[in-house]
Amino acid sequence: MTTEPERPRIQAQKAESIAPRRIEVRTGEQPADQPKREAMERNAEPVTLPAGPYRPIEDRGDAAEVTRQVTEEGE
Amino acid sequence: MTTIVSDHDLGAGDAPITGWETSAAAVGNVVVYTGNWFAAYSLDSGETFTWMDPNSVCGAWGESLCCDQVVIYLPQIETFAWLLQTNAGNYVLAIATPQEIADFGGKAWTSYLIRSTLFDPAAAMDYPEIAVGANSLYLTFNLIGKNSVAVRVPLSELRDRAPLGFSYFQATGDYWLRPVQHTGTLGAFVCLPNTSTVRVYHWPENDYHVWSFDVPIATIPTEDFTVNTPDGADWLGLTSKVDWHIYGATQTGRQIWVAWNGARRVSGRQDNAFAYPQIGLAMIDVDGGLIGQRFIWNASYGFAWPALATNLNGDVGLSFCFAGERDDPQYGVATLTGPAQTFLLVTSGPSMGAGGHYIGVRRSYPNEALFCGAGFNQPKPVDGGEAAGHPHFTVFGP
Repeated sequence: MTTEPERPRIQAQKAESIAPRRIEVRTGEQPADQPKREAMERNAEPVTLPAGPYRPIEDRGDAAEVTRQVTEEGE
Repeated sequence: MTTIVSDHDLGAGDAPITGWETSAAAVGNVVVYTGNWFAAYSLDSGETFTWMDPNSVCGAWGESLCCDQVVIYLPQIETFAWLLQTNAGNYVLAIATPQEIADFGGKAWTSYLIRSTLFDPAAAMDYPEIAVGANSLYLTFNLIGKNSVAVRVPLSELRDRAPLGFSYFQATGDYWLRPVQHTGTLGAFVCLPNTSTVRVYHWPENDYHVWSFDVPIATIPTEDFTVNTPDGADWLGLTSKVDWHIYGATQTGRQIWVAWNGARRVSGRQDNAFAYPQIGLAMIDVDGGLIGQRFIWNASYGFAWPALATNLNGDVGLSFCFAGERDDPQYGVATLTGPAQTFLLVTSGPSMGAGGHYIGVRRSYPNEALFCGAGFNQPKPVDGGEAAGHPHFTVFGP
């Protein structure tokens, strides 16, 4: 496989400078009422994870070896 | 052989911290950890974490937290950089030294508000990642519905807590641009303009010109990401937001490694290329040209959500997740270079989820031979309560 010809150069731009602000961050224990509602409104598809009844799985031990395939073509 | 040096579950203990979309950075005993809606710091190498309110960071600018936080350590200026996405589609960049975090209990940060209107009059920003070069902090994100942007911030201005005079370029026509980790003086950014091409953008630190080249790769299987778990749930269903864009990118020597989620079947083909979804990798010469490709796959279960980093010795570290019909979703780590590339599970036991948009891995400091990984699983609740993601902070190395 070969590399295709170089593409046209892009001129980067300078943005107007932005000023810093010292802030105080609230710390402590994570509250139960996380700001989920606003985030879900922002994200049309919130990341929710699959759910279902638990069924035992095999004990895989500490390590799981995967089979690796190294190929130039891949298909 | 990959070795897990330590692993800590933020969701365990008396003051659990839960969530996903995990990212962590560490130097010495100080760790900063971020997730979708949480942040935390540790002063004892991850043994214990104290929650930090990311919404108070955004609130200082009159904004509120949305999601998509990432963190990195900038060794040149001995500073953590924490990036937060707001509901208005802007970013807050907050910085603090390890000493400041220790002295002020994670309360004192210096922050900057990066407004989306600097780049577009209407489009919000989404899906950020940060990386550090020799003298610059890099930030990439999507302008929703338009294209990706790469931003370069001088480390010297961050060190001095000075006004930021940053520069940027728009990758017109490209989406899901990612910064390459550990690039030195030649910044690099990568994306997949189509399923058969990796595009590399190069931006020298002392230049305002950006150039790019395309590298042909084997066509990425993009069809059928289905992975049924033992519970019968679809691990990589629609709400997981699984996609085949680049998730991990790092440079080792003169090679750029990029990693993406691959599905079973190439579009338009009838036969599956893989039995399960897999992680695809391409190794690209910095000067152009494909060095090789690899696929992390198995005939019995699927892999997804790769994150990459390089250690001081040039080893490439990987955070990943996996699941299958006989395997609950879990988080794992690996090193992809060296003679014995063992893949290790970090989490285990009954789990309902792992992955979730992205996970993380960074080079660890000051022992730069190690990596710090950030992933999670979602243990099945034993009391019938709501299941919560358990973030893990994992130090590992070859």
